[in-house]
Amino acid sequence: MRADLAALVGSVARAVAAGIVLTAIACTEGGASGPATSGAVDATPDAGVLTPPPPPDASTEPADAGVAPADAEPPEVGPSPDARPPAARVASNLRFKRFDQLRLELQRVLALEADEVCQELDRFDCTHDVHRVALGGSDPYLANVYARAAQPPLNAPLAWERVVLTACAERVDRDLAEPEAASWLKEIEIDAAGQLDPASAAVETAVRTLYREALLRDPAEAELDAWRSAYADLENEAAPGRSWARLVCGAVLTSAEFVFH
Amino acid sequence: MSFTRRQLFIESARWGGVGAAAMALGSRRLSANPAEPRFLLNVCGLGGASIQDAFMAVRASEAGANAPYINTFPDAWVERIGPFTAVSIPPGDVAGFGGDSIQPEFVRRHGGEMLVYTHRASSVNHPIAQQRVLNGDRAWLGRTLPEAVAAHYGDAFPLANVNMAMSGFAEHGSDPSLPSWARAISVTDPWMFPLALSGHLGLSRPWAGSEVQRMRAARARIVEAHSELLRTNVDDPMWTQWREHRDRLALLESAGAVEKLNINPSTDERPFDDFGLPTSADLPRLQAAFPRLAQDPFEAQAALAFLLLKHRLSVSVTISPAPQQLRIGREVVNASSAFDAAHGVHRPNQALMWTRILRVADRLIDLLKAEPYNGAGESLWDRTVLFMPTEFGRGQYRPENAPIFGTAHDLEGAQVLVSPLANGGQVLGEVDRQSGRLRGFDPEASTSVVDASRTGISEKETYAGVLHLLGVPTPGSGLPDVRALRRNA
Repeated sequence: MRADLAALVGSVARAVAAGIVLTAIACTEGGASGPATSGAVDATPDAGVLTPPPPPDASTEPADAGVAPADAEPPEVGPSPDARPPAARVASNLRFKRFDQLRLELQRVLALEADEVCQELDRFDCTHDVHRVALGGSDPYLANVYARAAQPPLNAPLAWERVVLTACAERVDRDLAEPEAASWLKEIEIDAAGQLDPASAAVETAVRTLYREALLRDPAEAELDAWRSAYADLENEAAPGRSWARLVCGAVLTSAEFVFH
Repeated sequence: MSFTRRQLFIESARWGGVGAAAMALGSRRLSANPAEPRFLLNVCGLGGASIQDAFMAVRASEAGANAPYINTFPDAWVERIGPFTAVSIPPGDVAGFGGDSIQPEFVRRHGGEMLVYTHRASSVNHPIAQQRVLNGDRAWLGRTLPEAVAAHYGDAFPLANVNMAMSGFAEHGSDPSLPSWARAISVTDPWMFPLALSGHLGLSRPWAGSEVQRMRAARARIVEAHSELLRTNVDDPMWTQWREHRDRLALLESAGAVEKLNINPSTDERPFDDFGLPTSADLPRLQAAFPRLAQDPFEAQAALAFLLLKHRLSVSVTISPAPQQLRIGREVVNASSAFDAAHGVHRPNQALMWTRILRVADRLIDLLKAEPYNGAGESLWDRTVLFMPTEFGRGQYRPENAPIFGTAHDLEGAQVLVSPLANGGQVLGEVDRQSGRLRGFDPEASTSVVDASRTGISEKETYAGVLHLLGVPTPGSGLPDVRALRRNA
């Protein structure tokens, strides 16, 4: 406990020295860490500081072993304190937004209500129920999972794609069905064959709007050109305008630039 | 308390030959090469399982004058099978509780591969003790057992480490150097989990697979390639891991994981068919093995665990009952607080929960035995260690002759391993029949040597013993060599 306290004090001191505002901890679900995982402070990259690996065991146990079992082949080279990959020694500045922040931002960008974003099987809320833990949450009341993962879980990218693709499909279909009430694809003209003009100002505006709302930046000229060019690959689709809008929406909102801050 | 090898063989044969056959397989030299993985299957005894209510029970006649004051059973309720005991409470004999016990059957079927050993926890706080039994009280880099196994064997497994357990058993380790793919994937709903293994299958607003592939390519080529944020932080661990996850998940999608792991028959409540999601081809036999699969999350976890191992998606899977009461129809199938319901009513709740986890373990073992590992006659079971970790034991005192009594947490307890790789057919350590207290054993002896100076091996020794049983090398770790847990050590 004393060692944990010292580690906590050390982490806070380093973070303050680096000018990092720690209010982020309070804003993040489960940010106080779970019930007392020994050393959890060091493992949680919430201080934006270099986190040294824990020292090798310093107990007074007799010699290791290093044992490979008696009936095993000669031991493989196993992980050891000296064989840490470089990633473990690099400070992490990026933060995963997690399930609640991700959904709120998606709602804002696509102008959807919470229950319009994504429902698995049309019944179960994607972000706050089915994929809550995959998207970096804890689930203490219903699943007895008290602590969130310190890093995005392995299945987070797929879980997030499911959410975004569902929400994008909803937004695009609504905008195309009622152009006068469109919240994103404003003034984009789509003809009877489902075609749009990728060189039109309305198309550029739609891309700029999505980038500004989602990524808080303008698209580079090269990106605008690339999105215009991307349309050419879709012209044989049944509804190329719709496909193009889904493509842009999905790509921007599943990008790592959107899920991290 | 121990058997000689010869005695064990005779006993195994007497138990029906299953143990003998397993023993023969267990003696085969198995490689610890990561390319030839061994599998860890944790079936957690959440809440504090009392070994004195199962495989180290004390008959009243054995306890002498102390029998009325400690947790002893009427002699007829305790069957001795080899080195183990098995408790069966006659239905209705304890305040209406009691029911079919699977303990005698379990010992007869799996005793030759079962190792029960005394263990001393370092905490009587549930989440802390649960974490420590899986991470050896931070014995090695802060890695949990499932993480260490996954790091050694799991590189080629898309979901190397899946954890469906709860509370402290669900906690991640604290080693920042652990490969990202060895970290546990937490599963809180085994029925819905497969949906998270595809970016597009079964979406309520459909996307074609080719459309998703095009989107991913455009995302990388257009958005992320021009992102100043990502360029500046190209070596940031978060972004690096995100890319690693994506690469691994592509393998998962191509492996058809959703179809392989979908254990849901389509129903009005969960209409999977409506969304084009086929169920696992194994569903009929899983329903036969786990008849409450559709209602009981623990049975659903077990079914999913089997499929994860069968399809070589995972090398480490952890499951546990929930710490809430579950009633199906009129039957209570899970005690409130699981084994910890013993605080108020010890004996029947311990019996209920032992039956619950042993029944699931029994059926998982059967499924794994029936699953070929390779063409050389090995089954998946031959390479599996089924560990039943519990965080601590229970106090053993009761008011005079009380059939209903409550017990507190106790540092003294025991762990159960079942595996062809384990030093099975033994109880290591013993129970003092006059007091119900446990005694330890020498962990570095290859046969059972009772050590009355301690009450069981430590969390660190359990951690080392299980890792080495699985053939995970631990160079430079300082971990002890717990030979007593390994067959042929």
